Amino acid sequence: MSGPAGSGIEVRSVSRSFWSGREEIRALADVSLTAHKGEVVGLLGPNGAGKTTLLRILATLLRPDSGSARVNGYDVIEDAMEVRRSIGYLSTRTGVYGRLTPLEIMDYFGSLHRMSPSMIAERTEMLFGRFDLWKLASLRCEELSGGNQQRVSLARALLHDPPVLILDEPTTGLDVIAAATTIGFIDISRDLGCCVLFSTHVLSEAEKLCDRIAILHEGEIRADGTLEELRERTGQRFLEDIFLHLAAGSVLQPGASGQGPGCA
Amino acid sequence: MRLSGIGSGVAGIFRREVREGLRNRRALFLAFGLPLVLYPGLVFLFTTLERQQFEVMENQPAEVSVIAPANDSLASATIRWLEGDSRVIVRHLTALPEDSLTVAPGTDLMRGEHPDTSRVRRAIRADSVDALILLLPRAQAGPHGGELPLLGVFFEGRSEESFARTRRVTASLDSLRGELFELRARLAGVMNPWRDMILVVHDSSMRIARSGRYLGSILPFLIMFIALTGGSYIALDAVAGERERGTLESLLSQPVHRLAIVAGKALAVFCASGVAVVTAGIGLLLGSAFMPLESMEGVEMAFPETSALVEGMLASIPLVLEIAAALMIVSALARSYKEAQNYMLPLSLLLMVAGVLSTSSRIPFSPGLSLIPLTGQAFAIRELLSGGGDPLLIAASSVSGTVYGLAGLFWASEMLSGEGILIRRQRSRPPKGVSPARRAIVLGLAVLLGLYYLSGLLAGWSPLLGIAVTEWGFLMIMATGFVLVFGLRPSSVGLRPASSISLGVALASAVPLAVLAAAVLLLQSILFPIPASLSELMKPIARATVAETVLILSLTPAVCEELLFRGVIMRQMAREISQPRAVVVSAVLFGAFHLSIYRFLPTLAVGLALGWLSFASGSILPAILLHACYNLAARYLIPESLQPEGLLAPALIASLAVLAALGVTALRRGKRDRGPLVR
Repeated sequence: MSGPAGSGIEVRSVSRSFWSGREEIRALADVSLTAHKGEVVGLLGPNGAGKTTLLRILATLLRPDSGSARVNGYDVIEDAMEVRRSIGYLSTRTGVYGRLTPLEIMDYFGSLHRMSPSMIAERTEMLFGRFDLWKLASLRCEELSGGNQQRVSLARALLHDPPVLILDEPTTGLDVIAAATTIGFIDISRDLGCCVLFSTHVLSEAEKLCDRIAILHEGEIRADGTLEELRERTGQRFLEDIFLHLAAGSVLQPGASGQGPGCA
Repeated sequence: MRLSGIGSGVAGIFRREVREGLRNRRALFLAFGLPLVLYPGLVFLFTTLERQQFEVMENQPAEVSVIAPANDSLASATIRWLEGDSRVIVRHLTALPEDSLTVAPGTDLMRGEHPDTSRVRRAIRADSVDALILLLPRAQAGPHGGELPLLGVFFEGRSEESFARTRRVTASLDSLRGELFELRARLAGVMNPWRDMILVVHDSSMRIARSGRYLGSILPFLIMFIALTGGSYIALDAVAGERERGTLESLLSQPVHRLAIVAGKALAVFCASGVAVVTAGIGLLLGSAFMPLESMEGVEMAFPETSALVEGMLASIPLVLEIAAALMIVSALARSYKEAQNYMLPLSLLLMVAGVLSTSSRIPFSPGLSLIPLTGQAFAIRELLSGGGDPLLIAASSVSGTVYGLAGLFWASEMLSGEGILIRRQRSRPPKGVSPARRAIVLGLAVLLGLYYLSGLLAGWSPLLGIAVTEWGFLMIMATGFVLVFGLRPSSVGLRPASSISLGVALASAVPLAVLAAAVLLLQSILFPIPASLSELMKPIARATVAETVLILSLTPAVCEELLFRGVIMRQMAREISQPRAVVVSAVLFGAFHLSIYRFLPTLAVGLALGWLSFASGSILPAILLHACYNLAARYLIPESLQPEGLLAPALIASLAVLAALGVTALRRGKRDRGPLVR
């Protein structure tokens, strides 16, 4: 599943606007971002910062107005189909097919990826074991709790062993144990050489898990670096303070270090 | 994307839709349960009720009015007979002098022709009787000389009741005839005046009222709704439902072609609709075993034969495909499942129009109808179910229906490829301002709509007055209103001096253009014969005097139509789209403006020529001149002389040559004084 040489994710000066009536909404303004293989990058930002738009562009669901993006070495516009083969994508409001069982969902998505039945069975075996889904495997998904449905979705996204994971708030709505399982799996995926880009509101997760953190605010990357680098740049110790300093700086004006936002 | 890839994607998507559908009780109910139980049940209920009503009515005597000549022995003998029969009650007896009871010569009473059907209908209603019997002892010339008596039974088949009672009247008269025949045999040799009695039974009700009685003609309508309800659950769930549950985004990020996604889903919808239709067919067949149809002889309700039913089912495949495509489009348009359900009502209304048209036996299946989406296919089913139909028309409607269905699915897949499927509240692109071209097209469409109603109102009046009012009162007001509201200068609607060359070109091309238009009309009438009603409509125009022709038929349309179509609409569009395109679009609107499918092509050709001249000369004055001369030429040019075997070919070739030469001249000479179309 490895594509042409290159990083897992490469975003170059991507801009994207939406229109509400005659009013332009700049969802992304000249965003650049890189995530290498074997690296977990967290995308942090308040609601409406443009996180989902960026992830949807990487999942080939939206097109950038300008700039370019490559996933696993493939261009999101030119080689959309190859990009789709390379990614495991989990959207914010990922749902499941209520009348199918988790096993049937695996079969369905496996067939869409043109995987052989034995391959599907093998991967399902592994993923269901890891996400503790075997006891639910033959129940209809509509009977599962929200957290369990999210586990099924995550297993589904990982079914075809994608080299790049794009996860939009994967732990939202999960209980502590399920969230920990998810985080654990992202950790393992990194060790297996995956490139993971995920957005989150939960700063502790990002702090624990991410190799690098990008802070997106009002469509712009306000900061991008390791936690250490961000601490140095802002003079703040905790990620929450760093986040407030960078992302909400325009609102709160903490001004502790005198350094303005817009370090990117 | 390789084709095999699309294929496997289709299969995967299809399997999931079917699997989920089969586990959904509501979807199953709509596809199997409802058609199996409800529709045959409905028909069963309907026929049983009708039969019971029929039986009740069977025992009641029919009430009749009799109109007969006074002092006629034959008439009084017949009336006595009727009064003695328990099946008939004579409520009114109108005795008239014999000479007032003549039938107009040439009226074929045997075929149910009557000089004044509506008068008979009024008489039946005024007397509130079931039938009107007209006794004419000396009505028609017999085969061996002499005059034969005639009995006319007029009734109105509005209700079951009048049908049943009239049967009793005719039965009574039939026995009268039989008895008299016996009498004649006994008195052999004695001349019996009733020997060759003619019995006319005529339904004076409007045929449209009777048509609803045919079960067969209701079936296409039922098939449409069975297909709609049968596939609706899966279809609405397929896109709108997936979006609502949040699975659509995951699906769209899979390596499957959008076309495969739509095809797989549409296939599932098609199967569900098809299964529903077949189930309903089986249900009807099973139900017909228990339906009391045999005892309903005389009631014009027949069940289609099994072979016709199978043919009708096969012919419904394109219809079901179209409905599946419509459902997919609705599903892709809606933001949520609930919103999709709201769209179902307008969709049903649309189907209703097509269905109602096909249930009317008064409307014959025509080439024009066969190409209309949904309607054409419903007609094809109707024709097959009633055991007939032109195979060519049925093939045409099946092919066109399939094309419409596939085009609809392609559109749905385009919608799924767009970003709009995920972002609903906002738009991907900045909104465009209202452009002059759009304004012009909207103006053109408004003209068409207004004209449609106006012409309907004026149709009953004098056609010439109608033309004058439409042109000056409607087109001119529209055009000047547009000029005033948007502050256009006279020159920007083409009111500029024209060169003498372009005026000469206009004068010279009128007759060739009239020949061309007549040829187009003739060639078209080979494929689509012009109905008699249309030529009937043109008659008052053909009777117009010279003054009326010049003022109302020639100058009025020339000035009003040119100012609107070439002056305002074409020039406003040319600010936005290329000039040749503006010529073509305005010509299409001009053709549509004549509100007749038969006149579209000829007027389109004329519109193109007028647009071209207006474009080449930079002014609408030459177009006005050409339009006026063309209308004169078309009025006096005798189409009969242009029959295919007559002067058509040479005249057409000569005209085309002249037109081409004139067109080139206009363009070359026009270049000097033309400048751009829009200033």
